[in-house]
Amino acid sequence: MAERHDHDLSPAAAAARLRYVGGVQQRTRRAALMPSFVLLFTGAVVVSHGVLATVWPHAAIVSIAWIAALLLVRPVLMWLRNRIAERRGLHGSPRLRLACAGAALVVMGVAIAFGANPLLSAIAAATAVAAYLGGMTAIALAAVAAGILGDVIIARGVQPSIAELFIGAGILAVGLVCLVQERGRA
Amino acid sequence: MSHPTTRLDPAIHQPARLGILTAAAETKRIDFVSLRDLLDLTDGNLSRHLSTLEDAGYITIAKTFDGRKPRTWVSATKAGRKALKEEIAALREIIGAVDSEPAVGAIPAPSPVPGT
Repeated sequence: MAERHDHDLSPAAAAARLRYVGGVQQRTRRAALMPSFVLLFTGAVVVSHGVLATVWPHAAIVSIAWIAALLLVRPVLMWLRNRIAERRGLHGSPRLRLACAGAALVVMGVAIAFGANPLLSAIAAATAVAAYLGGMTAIALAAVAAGILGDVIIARGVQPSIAELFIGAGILAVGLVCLVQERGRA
Repeated sequence: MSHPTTRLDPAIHQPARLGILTAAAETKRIDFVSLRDLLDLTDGNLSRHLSTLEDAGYITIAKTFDGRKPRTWVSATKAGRKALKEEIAALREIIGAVDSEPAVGAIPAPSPVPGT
């Protein structure tokens, strides 16, 4: 198909094209990130960790049990994620997940170095990066605020396990709201 | 140095094709229906643009079956991702070439991480 090369593209038209590309990128990332699935899973992880740490207050054993459980459920989660992606007709780019995981790892390291809660900090960072890349600035800021709030209340003397229970419940609630909205749109 | 408009790629300069390649580059693969809904295109229009992009070597198209229902999956090729990156760079240069004021920064420009 022969088309005329657009040599007269004005700066305003170029800016409009760039805005369009940016909008498509954000909408695609938002769809690929599956916010409800990620939030429900993340909330379940935080609540489980909080429950485990409350009823079984041996930090090292809790961490080992938690990591082992995550490794065990990973294949199920991968299968579920692929199934949802297949049904929705959109498989997210691995680079998008790597960007979120990279942010989580860096912030987790920083949290350990500064004595903050590594789990809450990592989850807040991953959520914030995912929301930012998906163009959801308010959610990105809320994630950062929730991470800081979690660390502050733990620093003020609240048991980390109790803080995790409350924050995990909050994440689950937001995940449910997202799920209801997604079902409503479908 | 040539003017940035001469580096615009006719195969992806058309807005719908630019959108298709952007969405494909942001995913591992995306199906026809998702693309159509995401970009608000008609079936015929999308098919035509997909053919152009496939002919240019910027996307690959794979057909699968979900039970009896056929599905068309679109993936961006390496050449497609490179072309998109160059198109975005050329568009940014067009803005910068005429007006090097900081207004360029005010545009919610496409993020290079992690898509293109």
